[in-house]
Amino acid sequence: MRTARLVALTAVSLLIALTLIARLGVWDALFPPSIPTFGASMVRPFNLTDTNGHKVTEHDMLGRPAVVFFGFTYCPEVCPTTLADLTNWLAELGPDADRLGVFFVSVDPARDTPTELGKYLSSFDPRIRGLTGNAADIDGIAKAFGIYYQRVEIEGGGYTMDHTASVLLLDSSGRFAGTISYQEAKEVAVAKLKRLAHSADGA
Amino acid sequence: MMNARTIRVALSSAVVLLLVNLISAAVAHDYALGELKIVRPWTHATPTGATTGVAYMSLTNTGSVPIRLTGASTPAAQRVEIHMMSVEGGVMRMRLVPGFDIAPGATVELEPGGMHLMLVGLNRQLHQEDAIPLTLAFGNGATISIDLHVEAIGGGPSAHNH
Ligand SMILES: [Cu+2]
Repeated sequence: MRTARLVALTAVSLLIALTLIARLGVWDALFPPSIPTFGASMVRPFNLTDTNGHKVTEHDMLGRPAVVFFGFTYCPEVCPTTLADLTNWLAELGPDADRLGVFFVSVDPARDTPTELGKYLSSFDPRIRGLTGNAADIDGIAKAFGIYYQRVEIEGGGYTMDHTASVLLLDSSGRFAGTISYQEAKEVAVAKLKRLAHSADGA
Repeated sequence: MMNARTIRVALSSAVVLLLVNLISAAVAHDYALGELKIVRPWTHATPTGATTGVAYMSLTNTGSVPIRLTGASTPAAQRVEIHMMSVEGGVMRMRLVPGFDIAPGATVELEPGGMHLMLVGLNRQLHQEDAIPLTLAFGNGATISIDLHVEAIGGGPSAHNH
């Protein structure tokens, strides 16, 4: 009788603990995705939608070096600043910019519909391709790229997203080739992109 | 035909104009409320359809008692929140704070990468060079209306100076 109650109690506590870990993002908070190692293969199969409603898969990210940034349109500072930086860097790169695929992936697909995302990105370089999708697909690509993101409720209504603020660089085979951190000096960022743009030259 | 005198007059008027512009720019962006100095309040222009904006400024308490910022409002947005923002380990995090104290003699900087006022539910796009009215509210009941100078998206007086 006592043993049975103990087993039941343990089972219930375990269930509660597992639910908390799964539902509240405790796992992600305890073990945020780590920075990948150079040359690690990053791109896994995915199904997303661009701002014109077209399907985008991993094949659209392979074949030429890619520059990928994760964010959301309700973001007050980091995302618009980084998109403006990307716009300036691409202009600075000149024709080399056309060797790169540039992607902005939403970590807030519930609010960032293709239409909203398209409107938002119209303020930046048109080569920045906006991607959104359903929650599971976004989660898949974020995990594959080692991107941390977490919904945070705001007292009094609404929510915001904590998220990785670095720009990811991938070579043409989808392997990790570095990052550009938030507010990185322009010369450094442009040099990294230039190197990335020519990384496929010898291949 | 430009003679030396014309050139001299033209040059000196250009210098005077430049000085006037610099001085008025500095004056136009600073405010005082009692012992509180508010220096260079500004914001970023917003992308098309953006629903959030920010406000940055430098707040200096020249008095001998703490001053507490408790809130703000603007006709350009549904509400204004005080946010603590950080970028650590490559991750951006943002949290609501109810207010903050400016200690006697201290300066609190609201700036990119740190604390900011967040304009939530923007009802208009903020365009570069616009002036956006903002009212700050303090713990002692005082309020002051200031104008945020709109800088380029991602630009600003203190951004990218490293
Ligand atoms: Cu904020």
